[in-house]
Amino acid sequence: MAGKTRKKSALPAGLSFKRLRAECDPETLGFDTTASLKPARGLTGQDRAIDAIKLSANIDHKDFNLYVLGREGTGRHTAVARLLAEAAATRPLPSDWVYVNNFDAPHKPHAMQLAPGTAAALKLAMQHLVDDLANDIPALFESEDYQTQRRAIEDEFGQKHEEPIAEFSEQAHAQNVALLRTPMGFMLSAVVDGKPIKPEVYEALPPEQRKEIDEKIEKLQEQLADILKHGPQLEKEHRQRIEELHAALAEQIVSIRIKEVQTQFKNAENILAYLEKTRLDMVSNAELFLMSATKPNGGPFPEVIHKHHQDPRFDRYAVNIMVSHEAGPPAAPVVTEDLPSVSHLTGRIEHISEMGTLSTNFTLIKPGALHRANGGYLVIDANRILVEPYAWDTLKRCLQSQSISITSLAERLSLSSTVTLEPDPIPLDIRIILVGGRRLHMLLLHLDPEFGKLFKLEADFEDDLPRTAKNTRAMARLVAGYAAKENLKPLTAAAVAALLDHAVRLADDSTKLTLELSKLTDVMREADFYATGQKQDLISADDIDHAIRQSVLRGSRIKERMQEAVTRKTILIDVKGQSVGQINGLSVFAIGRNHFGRPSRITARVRMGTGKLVDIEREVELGGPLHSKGVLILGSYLATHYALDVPISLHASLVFEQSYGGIDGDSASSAELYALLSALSGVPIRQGLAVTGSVNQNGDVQAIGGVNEKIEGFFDICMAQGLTGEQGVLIPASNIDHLMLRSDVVEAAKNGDFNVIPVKTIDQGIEALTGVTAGRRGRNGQFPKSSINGKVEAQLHAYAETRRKFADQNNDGLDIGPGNGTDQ
Amino acid sequence: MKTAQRAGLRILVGAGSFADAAAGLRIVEQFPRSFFAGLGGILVEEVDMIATSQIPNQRIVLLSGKTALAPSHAQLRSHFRADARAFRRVLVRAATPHGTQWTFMQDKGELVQTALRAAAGWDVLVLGYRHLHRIPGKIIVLQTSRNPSVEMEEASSRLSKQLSAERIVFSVRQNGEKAIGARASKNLQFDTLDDALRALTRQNAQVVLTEFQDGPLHSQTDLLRLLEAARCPVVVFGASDTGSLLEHNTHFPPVANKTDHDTDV
Repeated sequence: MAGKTRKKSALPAGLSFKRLRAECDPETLGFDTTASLKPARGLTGQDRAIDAIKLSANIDHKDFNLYVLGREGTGRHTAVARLLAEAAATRPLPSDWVYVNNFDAPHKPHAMQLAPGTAAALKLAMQHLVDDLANDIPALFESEDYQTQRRAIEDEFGQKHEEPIAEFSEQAHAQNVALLRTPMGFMLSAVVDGKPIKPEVYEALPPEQRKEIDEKIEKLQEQLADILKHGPQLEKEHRQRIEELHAALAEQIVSIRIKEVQTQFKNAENILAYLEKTRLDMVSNAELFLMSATKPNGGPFPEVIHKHHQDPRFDRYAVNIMVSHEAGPPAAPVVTEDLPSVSHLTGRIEHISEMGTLSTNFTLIKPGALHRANGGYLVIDANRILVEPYAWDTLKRCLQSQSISITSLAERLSLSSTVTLEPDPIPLDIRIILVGGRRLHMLLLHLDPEFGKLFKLEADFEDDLPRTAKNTRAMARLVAGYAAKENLKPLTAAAVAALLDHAVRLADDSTKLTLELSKLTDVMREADFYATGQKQDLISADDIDHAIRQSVLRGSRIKERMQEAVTRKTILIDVKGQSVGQINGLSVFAIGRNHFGRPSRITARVRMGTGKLVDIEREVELGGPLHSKGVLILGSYLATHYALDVPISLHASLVFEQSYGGIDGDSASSAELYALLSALSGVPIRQGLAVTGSVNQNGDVQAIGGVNEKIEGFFDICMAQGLTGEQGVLIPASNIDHLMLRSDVVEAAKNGDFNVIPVKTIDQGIEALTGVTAGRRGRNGQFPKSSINGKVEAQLHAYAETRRKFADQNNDGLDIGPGNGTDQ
Repeated sequence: MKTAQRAGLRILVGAGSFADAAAGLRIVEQFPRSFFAGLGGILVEEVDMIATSQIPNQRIVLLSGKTALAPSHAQLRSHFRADARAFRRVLVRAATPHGTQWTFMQDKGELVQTALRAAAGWDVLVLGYRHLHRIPGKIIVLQTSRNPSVEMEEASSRLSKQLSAERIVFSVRQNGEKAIGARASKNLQFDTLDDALRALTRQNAQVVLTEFQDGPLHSQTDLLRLLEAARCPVVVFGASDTGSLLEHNTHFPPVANKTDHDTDV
């Protein structure tokens, strides 16, 4: 339905090339190279986030934990590390914490809070105590004094045992009774002729004599039984006496040694209490020290320097340091945990294999990041802690209870049935700093009701900052600082300007500079590599440009393949001529880190119908919700702008040709509307133009994203097929500030070979695309007949009239459906 | 042809039950490896005890002080078999770590007589006797006033050290000898063996060491009296030199088919 009804007007003038790329002038930077620039330390444009970090770092009230959100590479980690270090330097050194044995309940080790720097001293003192006693106590028990006392006790009780037996033996002997040993016990037998009586002899005896023997034997048996029954009681008394002797002897030396340690820690009441319990335990378990002496030394060193405390049997007197701080200038700890699993956060209780079974004790308790950071700050990546099983829940539990309880994952999941411990929880005074993305922060706020209570502060890092002269200079100093810090070559002023231009492009806004500094530093390092290869002393603007180009080139394989497909007409895109109901839309492909624009042919077809607008993309579920929204809006635009006095009797279809993947976003809605208007009016569209921009119900063209990539994408296609001077892109006028196009695009625009045409309304756009006046309603309420709008309205009236006639012809019983004439 | 010098002593442990044998072996285990070159065990089924147990209503007194009916002959046989297995097992366990050759025998008769007969060719005989209590006793050396053998001196000193027990010497004067000086607490002198045994029966002893060669014992009966007075294992040195002490009714050499033999080769 192509046709030319009147002479078209010329293509409207595009934007001046100066508006297409706002380059930084090296002359305005005020330096020759960054070597002469005072490097900036810190962050620019992140005042809001910095204030939040400072508040969290310095406020003492609980739950003012911090979530640091922002894009990767905006300096979140650097800022957090620097600000926390500054705050930590003003805070006191936190306490040392140790676990010691609970002598009453070994499975519940005691946590002890100690003054900073004391833990190591206490551990060493206890080791020396054990070593000393392991030498002293055996020596004491080997002394003649002890041996004499022990033997006296043994003699006493030995006699108590032996005397009755000896008397019994003599008595039995006197009564001619022999004591015989059997495998089970003792047996008494009358003696005849010096030998135990034989059964046949016994049987032959007169009854009276047998009775006499029996009575005698029975009496002696009772005596023997009494003597043997008394034995265990005597042994118990003997044992008690020996224990008393041991305790009395051990007490002397243990008390002396303990006193030495008590003197060393005389100001720590909890240590003194622990030492008293230790003293009592050492006295009652003195045999531990005796057993250590029976083990051969084996090594070349004398026994006196043997490290007895390394013997596992003395673990009960060990001091397990959870966290200790060197006594020195006050500084709270700042800990970053890269693997925030449950065990890395709260610590763990390890086990050792003994004779095939797993056992543990309090010396196998290992500290976690919460122990190390207690009294200071703990920095955790939000994503990482959320993917570690139960780690997030564990962290919240610790923050809520303000204590560190060690519970292994296996225990929580009931996967382990081996012996374990219940250590005293250690009080927790900590500030948690989570670093993560904005989306995650939003999800946590919505899905975890406890998150908002525990993390009351957020430090939201800006993505960009205004491109003012002051900020430009500040960025230049940041660049200089990074070059110095990373030992890169200094940058020339032109190189810095090129880098800042890249920063503007990354910000997608000619009035902004990106704060994703990591992307800039990546370019700097690559440029430094090229400069080194060229044996240059400075990084030049060419090096920066080369690095940027190479970066784009590395990710442009798919982009080039797509352009090739267009050039070879595999994908049909016209960049010359005119066509009715056909337009070049623009979209942005995001593949990995690379974004690029490419045109898509959008076509519209119309006929009489019942007011149905078919979005083919949506019908086949290739269109996303935003795209569908855009189509519905343009449908509404048609319905409310044209032929208001008749029912919409249109059937229209819209499609992205040769699009086989999903489409979303509404940036093509204006293009789709232009295609529809062309199809309805029969006025062809210039195929040398491509369009981007969304539209509202009033016909205003609205800003879209990725404007630079879209323009460059269409430019590349036109360039490949030859620039005609009739080519260009229609963009929303509100996107002018976002333009930061490639230099070759700017150059083409400067030469008049390519145009970037801003439009504010659909009417402006359709005029530019067709060269025909859009037309306004006159006093009579009608559009000029030769205008686009007039033609569209006339066509819609024609459809309505045709439909009415069709209905009249069939109103004698032909049912044309419930939507007849009213379906909008 | 020269005879190779033996590295140590050959020790025979004789007992009437496993409980007695175990007490004897515990003493043997205290000796150093170099001390013994061979280890033997003989379990003697004491015929007097077996006969006595057949007397009607005969009872035994257990170590716990309770009394029970004496076991039947069948029960005793069963006990002896179990004791023999246990004795042999413990004997092997004591000998194996040192790579010592071992021999285990079973016989019937009177313990002292049978053990002495079996001890021919052995250097030391240990007569087992179960401990009636667990209070450590003394190491008693029963000797004549003449110098005892080097082996007994060494063994008694070793046991004293190993068991942290006091070593006391009971010296029995030979005919015509006079008392030498004052009686030291660790060296008691007696005029006769009877005096020594009377004193010994009231001592809490862990083990008694004595020797036949030049010792105060003159007969099997003396050895039996010593065992009954000591109520602990008795270590007899020079046990192979006991030919003159054997009773006239002892079969010598022993009847081969009456002794079960089990030897490590």
